[in-house]
Amino acid sequence: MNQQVVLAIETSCDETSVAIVAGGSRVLANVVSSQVDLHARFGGVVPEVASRAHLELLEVVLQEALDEAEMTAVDIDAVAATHGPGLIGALLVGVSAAKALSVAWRVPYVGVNHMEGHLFATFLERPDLARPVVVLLVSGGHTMLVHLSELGRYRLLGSTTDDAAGEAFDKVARYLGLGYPGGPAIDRLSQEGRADAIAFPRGLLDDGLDFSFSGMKTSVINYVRKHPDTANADLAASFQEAVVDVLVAKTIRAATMTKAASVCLGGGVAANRRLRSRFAEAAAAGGFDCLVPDRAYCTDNAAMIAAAAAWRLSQDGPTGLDDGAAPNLKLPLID
Amino acid sequence: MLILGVTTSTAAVGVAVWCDDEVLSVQQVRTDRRHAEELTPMLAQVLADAGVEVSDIDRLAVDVGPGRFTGMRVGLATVRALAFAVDCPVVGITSLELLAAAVPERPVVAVIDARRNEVFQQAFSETSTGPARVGTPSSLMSDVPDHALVVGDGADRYRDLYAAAPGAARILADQDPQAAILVRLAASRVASPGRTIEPVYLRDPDVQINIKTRPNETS
Ligand SMILES: [Zn+2]
Repeated sequence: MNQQVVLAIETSCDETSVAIVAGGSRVLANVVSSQVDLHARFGGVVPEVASRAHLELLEVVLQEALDEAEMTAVDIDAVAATHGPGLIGALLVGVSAAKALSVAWRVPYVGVNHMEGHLFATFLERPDLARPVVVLLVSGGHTMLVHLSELGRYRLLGSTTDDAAGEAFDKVARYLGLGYPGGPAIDRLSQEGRADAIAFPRGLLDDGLDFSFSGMKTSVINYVRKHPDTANADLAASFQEAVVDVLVAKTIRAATMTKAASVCLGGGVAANRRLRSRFAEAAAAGGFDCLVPDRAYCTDNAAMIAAAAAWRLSQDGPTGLDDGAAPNLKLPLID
Repeated sequence: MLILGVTTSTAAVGVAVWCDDEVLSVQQVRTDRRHAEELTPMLAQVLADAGVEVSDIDRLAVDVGPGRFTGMRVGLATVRALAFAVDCPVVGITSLELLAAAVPERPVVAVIDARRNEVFQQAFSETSTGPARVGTPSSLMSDVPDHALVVGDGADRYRDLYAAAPGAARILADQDPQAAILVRLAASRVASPGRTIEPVYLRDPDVQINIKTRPNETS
């Protein structure tokens, strides 16, 4: 890949992020402004609140990214934005700004699939990671096992049949009164609890590569009803352990079945400490090369969007200026 | 002075370029939810038609709403990004003022459909300008002066209600905020840095708080 410099904007959910990446993997700036405090009092992301905040924050984040990279407009070879999936109003702030910059700076615009961005996050740190790779993508909106033999060729091996893993974390945290966002709250509290205190069911553990977390969430609620004195820390740690067990076991099973060379973790839930350590241990035990990316590249960030944009631009050329946003955009899959 | 103006707060998307005392080029279409898809190509085309580059722009102008939140933000994100790129100041003008400026008659009442049975409404008379408000047309009817001309997509939608206003209002149908008027008004206004140009929402975000927590939990 050449040393083309891509500036990317990510506004699909509640992080306003701008990154500048050279050559598809050299991160010169990756500024993320989280709106988490703004949404915490509502117990979840409020789309209109998020969209308003993106518009407020974008120029500041843009300027910070250019400053951090010590660059000006003339150094930018292409501008990219996440155009889906995500919240439509939020996506359109980034898409509109990116297209305007592309007109003003006379450089190509690239609309990027957010999920493809998460896959490319893995290559920011290890562009050489041995393939085929099985990537576990876990976030508030997705739980997917993706097989990648080469860039752009994604095969879906498994996905959730109900809630996403992050959604289950959020719901359980909410129920336990731990606030929002639920993932980090459960991660923190679990440090003080016993992971083996309660044997929550492991949804679909021995059954294929799909996931089911809804029943696991319900079993926490049922358990609290029957045992109201149970400590939150034990509930959190035991629930987290159950989720991690399933995520890790299915990834290793998928990698074994497909004879993958390596396994990799991505998405917001990949910031979970227990998942990160168990994932790495299991990969080592199974003889797989393993990448657990820096937490900054797991949660939503524009660096991964820039990485995907650089590759997409080289494959497909620029995206038209009539590009909009697609809230339900799917990852392009092969059979 | 070269001015580029963008309006996207209603079903319309419009772009105009103004130079010295005339509109050099202008495009305006009605779209439904395709503001982002329509705006950028239109912008490039209107600039090309006027024979100017973004870097030639001295001043930007934008319709700051009230109107459709997503549409407004497409226009504002675009204009603020352009202002960032060429480091030029911006004039923000409300959609209601743009509607009123399109007609010579006074008093005039600008009405924009706010959905959920409400409108954004503001009255302009020869001597004064009323407050911009949001509410049901009937709740805002006392703001409508006698013999006013009522303009805007809200006037279309609630035609019968406004026609029955005391003092018998007249209705001018099919009016959108016009990009050509935006750039003309912007020529004589004070411009500010792009990031200080705020959208005029007039309505708080819809927030549903639905948090079910563990009973008797005090931690
Ligand atoms: Zn994400």
